[in-house]
Amino acid sequence: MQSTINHDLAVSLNQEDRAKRAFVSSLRIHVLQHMSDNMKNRYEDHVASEARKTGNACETPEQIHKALKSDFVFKAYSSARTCAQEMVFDVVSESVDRELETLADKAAIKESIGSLTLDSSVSLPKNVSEIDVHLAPGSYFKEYAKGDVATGAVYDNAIEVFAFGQFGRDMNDIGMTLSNYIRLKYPEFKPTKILDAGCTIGHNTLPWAQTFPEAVVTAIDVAAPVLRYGHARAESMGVPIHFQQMNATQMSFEDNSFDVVFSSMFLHELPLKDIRAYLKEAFRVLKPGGLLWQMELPPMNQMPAYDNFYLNWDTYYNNEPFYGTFRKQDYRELLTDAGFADDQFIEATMPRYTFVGEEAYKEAIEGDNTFDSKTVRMDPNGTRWYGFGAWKK
Amino acid sequence: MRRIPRKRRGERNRFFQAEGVDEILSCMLRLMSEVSALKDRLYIAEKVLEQQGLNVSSAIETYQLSDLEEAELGATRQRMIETVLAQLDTAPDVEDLRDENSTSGEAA
Repeated sequence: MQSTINHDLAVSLNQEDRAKRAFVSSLRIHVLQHMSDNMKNRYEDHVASEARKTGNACETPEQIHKALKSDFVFKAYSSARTCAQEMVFDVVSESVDRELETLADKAAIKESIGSLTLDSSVSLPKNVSEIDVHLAPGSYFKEYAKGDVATGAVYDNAIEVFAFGQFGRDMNDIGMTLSNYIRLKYPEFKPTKILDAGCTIGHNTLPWAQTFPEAVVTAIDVAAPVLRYGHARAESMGVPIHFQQMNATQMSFEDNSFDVVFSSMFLHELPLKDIRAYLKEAFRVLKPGGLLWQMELPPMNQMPAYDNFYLNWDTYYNNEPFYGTFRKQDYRELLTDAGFADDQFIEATMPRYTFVGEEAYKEAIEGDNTFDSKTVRMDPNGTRWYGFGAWKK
Repeated sequence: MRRIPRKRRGERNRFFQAEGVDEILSCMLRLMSEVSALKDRLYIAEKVLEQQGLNVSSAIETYQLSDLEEAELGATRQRMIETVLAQLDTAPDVEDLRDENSTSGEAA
């Protein structure tokens, strides 16, 4: 497998690295497609009817989980998926290890088109420091040396193997899809200041600067190593982004600072109290007429029960403890509680912009929202991303 | 040399108790045998070529696969995964296992 990581911080890969990465990606495809389909068939053809015979309902994701839990096919799927997840980090760490001593030098920027502002007084919230999220050893915040960026390198390489191409070139499809939705759907809206909260290495931040080249784009995260890496990555790719170490639940920006506050796959990593705190902060820092726009997992109230069970596998088994609680919320209510007017709520499901191209994308976003088994699932045959948000009056 | 940690915090989820252990072990051994055979074959092929005056090790390291070759390898890899993991697709038939046990019991 040739790496698509195309910037100065890309680690060197030998043939064994490439072969192992390709194997893990192929294994994940097998688990998420073949074994996943097999599990659904097994549920529909056998498990659900057996559960009902014994008086157990299969109406909710929890009931489906309970019914499937003792079935061989579920165990096989879960065991293989867990193993494949662990193997992602194993194969990536091998190649990052070899450059552990030199990566920080590679990331040192002499002349910057963006900026990096670190703040050592920012403490890591427990949801970051206490959990090896996604089963990633050490999670995404550890520093192994002064000025370290290794965790950023692990993250960058891991999502490439994990996503087997489904995040697009430069792993930026989510950012491209969500930013172009705003550009095409609201052509009169011309944001000049954009914030990405919980940006990690900024792979979905860069598209905002590319879609709205007149805008100043700021990206925040609590972890210094991913910010250092993200800054060097963006510089190497020639995209000006201003990275700052900051907790999204306690932002130091002035009121009414931004036209857009964006995040991707961020809220579901937070405990509910922090989601609420972040949304209040987002409302505060948005200018009147500005837009909150979040790429996220679809809410449970829009999805069939089996798909909810399937998506929630991560919250049971992939160290995503807040994911299930988040998906149970009424997203519109979360935003109104944070200060947004009820009638300003927007949501959409979208095909992947970089996969379908501008014309097909434009046509698709004029249609109705579709919620089905391909919503926020990595499926080469038609994944749709989901976004929700609100305008600040 | 410093290393990124390989072990995550917390206990690993377990899905199988007794059931399925044999199938997993079987998959693992089959996979190991395929990988081991491939590695042995490649090692021998390099040695044979070296004897013929062709030192291919560095050329292998730098060889760039074409898109077509990538696709061919991808298809082969996918086939191997399907073959090796085929046993994970079907629940063991409990009745059959009982029959087998009772038959062997009678024979003993």
